[in-house]
Amino acid sequence: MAEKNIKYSFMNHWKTLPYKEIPNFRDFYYEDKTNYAYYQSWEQILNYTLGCGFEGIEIWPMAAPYIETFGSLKDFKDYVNSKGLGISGSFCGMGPGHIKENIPACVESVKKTVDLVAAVGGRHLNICPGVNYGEGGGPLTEDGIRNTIDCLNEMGRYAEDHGVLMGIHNEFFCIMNKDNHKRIIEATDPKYVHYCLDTAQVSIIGEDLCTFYDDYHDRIVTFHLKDTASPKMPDEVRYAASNPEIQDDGWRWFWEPGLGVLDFPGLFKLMKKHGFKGWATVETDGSPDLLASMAHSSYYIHTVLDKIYR
Amino acid sequence: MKIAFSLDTVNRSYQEPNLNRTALKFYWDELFKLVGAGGFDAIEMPFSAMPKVRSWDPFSKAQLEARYGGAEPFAKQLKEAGISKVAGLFFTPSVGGPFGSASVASADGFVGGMKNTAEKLLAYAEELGCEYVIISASPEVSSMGGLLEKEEEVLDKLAAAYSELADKAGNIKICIRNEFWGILRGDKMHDFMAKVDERIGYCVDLAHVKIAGSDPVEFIRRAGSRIGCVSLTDTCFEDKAECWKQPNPLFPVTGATQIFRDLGQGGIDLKGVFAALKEAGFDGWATVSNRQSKQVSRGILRARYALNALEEV
Repeated sequence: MAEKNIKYSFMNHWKTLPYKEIPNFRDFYYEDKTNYAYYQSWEQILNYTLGCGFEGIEIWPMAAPYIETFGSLKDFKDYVNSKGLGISGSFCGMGPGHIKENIPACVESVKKTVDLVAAVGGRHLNICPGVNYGEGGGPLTEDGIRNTIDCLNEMGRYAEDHGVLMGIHNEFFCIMNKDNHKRIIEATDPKYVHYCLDTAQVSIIGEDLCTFYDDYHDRIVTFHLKDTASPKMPDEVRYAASNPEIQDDGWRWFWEPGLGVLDFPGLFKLMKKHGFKGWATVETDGSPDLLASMAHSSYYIHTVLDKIYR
Repeated sequence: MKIAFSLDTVNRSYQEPNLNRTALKFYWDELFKLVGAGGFDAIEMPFSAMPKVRSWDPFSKAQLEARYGGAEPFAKQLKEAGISKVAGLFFTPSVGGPFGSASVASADGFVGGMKNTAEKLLAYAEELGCEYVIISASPEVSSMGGLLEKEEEVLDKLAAAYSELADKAGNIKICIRNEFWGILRGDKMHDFMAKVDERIGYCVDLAHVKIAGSDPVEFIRRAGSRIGCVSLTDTCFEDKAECWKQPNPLFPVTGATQIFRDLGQGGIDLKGVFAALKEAGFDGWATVSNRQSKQVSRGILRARYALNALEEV
């Protein structure tokens, strides 16, 4: 079998797993006879991840306190590796680096996440390039754009020096948005600042997914694969003062790959054309059932996408 | 005796329901209706000095104003769900954070931090029309580091701080909870309460008392007229390996278990408890607290079933 070009990881939205392992699993189950017992340890989640055909996980910085139950980040890395999985990287926010005085603090904060990624053997740090548009005083001014670029360059340089690829991960409600998204990508230093293409976020912003990838494939080093049924949302939604990511009625922006409207087959044809090699993370934020989401995503990858490019 | 239901049943940190769901408005809208439908017309809430971002929980003043428009519209929404009152609020002070790490924490820093947050708690409780607040005597002993060597000093300062808080509490009863992992675990609480301002009451938390090795019925008899409120918690957990000393004692190193069971699902002698409360002449709030509930709506009904089975209620 030919070697695979794409390694899939699953974003660890399980958030808090209080136990490393549950040796008394059967007794624990009998306490209440619900499925709760199946979602309380790292061992279980890692087993499910591997069982669903993923090669790794992506972690959140907020998982760090619970990772500490392993003793050290190295112990955590070793445990994940012992399960046959890798750690593709982590996600984090840049903070309000569009304001010049904030840059040093933002950089220091991101350095810690770079160190975390490096310590667990991760390759990617996917970074949201700023605060929310509506809550952070969008649109970005000329100074704000310049400061964002400077901030990202400095963070990216530190990441590169530590063996981590820092990629801009834009979000549809971020202060860096449709009007300046491409400008900022193009103005950052390509040696240090890469791009993580979140397929749903970029589509909701208003970009055509396939055109965007075709245009920026040389900067795109990894993916967050998720679907949406709401591409090209208008400014008043993306720029709302209240956080538009969380909708009052439970409306979901994000769906598992194949359950929305995005052209994943088209994207994978382009990935083949450009010879993409590396990690792609499936992210199913908003799912009420992460295991079902994991299995569904795996099914779609293996029955549809793999046939195009793997 | 008045019965309330605590929203501490919503586990916002662990997996089920996940954080995204508990952030959503519809989750809370429905929860209030479920609590009302379960026959509970009053609630207790956790208090967060630092509001969670992206969340519709009403556990801080900032969230209440941003999400619900303030106390009045919130009360109106609760009323429509069959809930007429927020009976009480609670919080647990921490060591570390703004007070420095446990190894260097001072008694003044810890107690000052507690008092500072408690004042905000009281202000929020007053705005919501609460009748009681619960303050935990301490966080987990495993997080207290060097403060444990200054226990006497810490307790003296806590007692003084509680008196100062009582001066500001108006009609709100301040009650102290003694978790099984805290510095006043079990019967140790009685000696402390004997030295504390009479205006301060016990929060009798049944499961905590039992896990610490005391008999809840006997505990109630000893607390007598000093009982300020009761947390109706249930448990089957026996702390044979002294997990109360470990970090994060909710998840014992000896094996996975649900320490707090839904009311009626554990081993607490509820009949004995209610008889003892009656004997003590207790007429305050007894609040169902299904912490760590695996299914919130099922837990509401389980608690209602358990209460219905008690003639005294």
